[in-house]
Amino acid sequence: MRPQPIVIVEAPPRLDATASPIFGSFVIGLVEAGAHRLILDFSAVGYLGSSGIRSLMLISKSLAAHNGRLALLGCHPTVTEVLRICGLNEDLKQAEVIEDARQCV
Amino acid sequence: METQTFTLHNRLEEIEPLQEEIKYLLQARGVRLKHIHAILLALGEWLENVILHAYDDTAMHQIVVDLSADEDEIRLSVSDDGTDFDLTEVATTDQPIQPGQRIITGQGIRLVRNLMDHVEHQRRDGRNQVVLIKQVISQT
Repeated sequence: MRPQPIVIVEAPPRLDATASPIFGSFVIGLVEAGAHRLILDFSAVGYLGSSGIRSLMLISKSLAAHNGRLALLGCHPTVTEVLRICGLNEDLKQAEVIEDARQCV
Repeated sequence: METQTFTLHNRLEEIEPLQEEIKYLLQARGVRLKHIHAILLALGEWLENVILHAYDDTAMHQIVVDLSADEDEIRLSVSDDGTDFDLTEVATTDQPIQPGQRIITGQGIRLVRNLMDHVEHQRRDGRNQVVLIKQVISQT
């Protein structure tokens, strides 16, 4: 049986209350369509607010329901700090380079 | 630094331009980038909360932001005419929110409290006033 393909999604630079619900719905749509090995490329994200955190939690929950796996790629220190404050630093796998992210999923 | 006053409406799209303006002012003062990021994110979180949860109508409301600074402290004061709330009552993100119900969600307030050194709320003359203070070290 062939392994499932890895899907990489580039996150927008700003995950605030305007962009996060749209991004979250889009990614959850992909998960429901079968993308269960998911890398979210966060290298462009400079602003992660609580709306973005909520979207990440929903994406993570959706993936868990499908036994899927998630990794965040290229998080800036400011983003990592927000994840830490919100208690998600340990739960969400993070990788600095694409090869490591692939290993995570 | 003299107090700078900014006025915006209860529209999410007005947050980012305001943050850009404040970022410019703080950079000009030599405030470290990590402090600027913390201040802008805390302000954004607070304004999102006001815009999304403080009003039970669709009318245009004015939100006033005052920015002041001295050597080692940045102070933001945000005033709105939305419903009163209790800063100590923190909801979980799973709780349903009714229109007009002022809820401070867990992650949002956790972020604000962690990013800033002091957060204080007062109800005065029918308006909410929240003061956010950050201790900073300038680069200069």
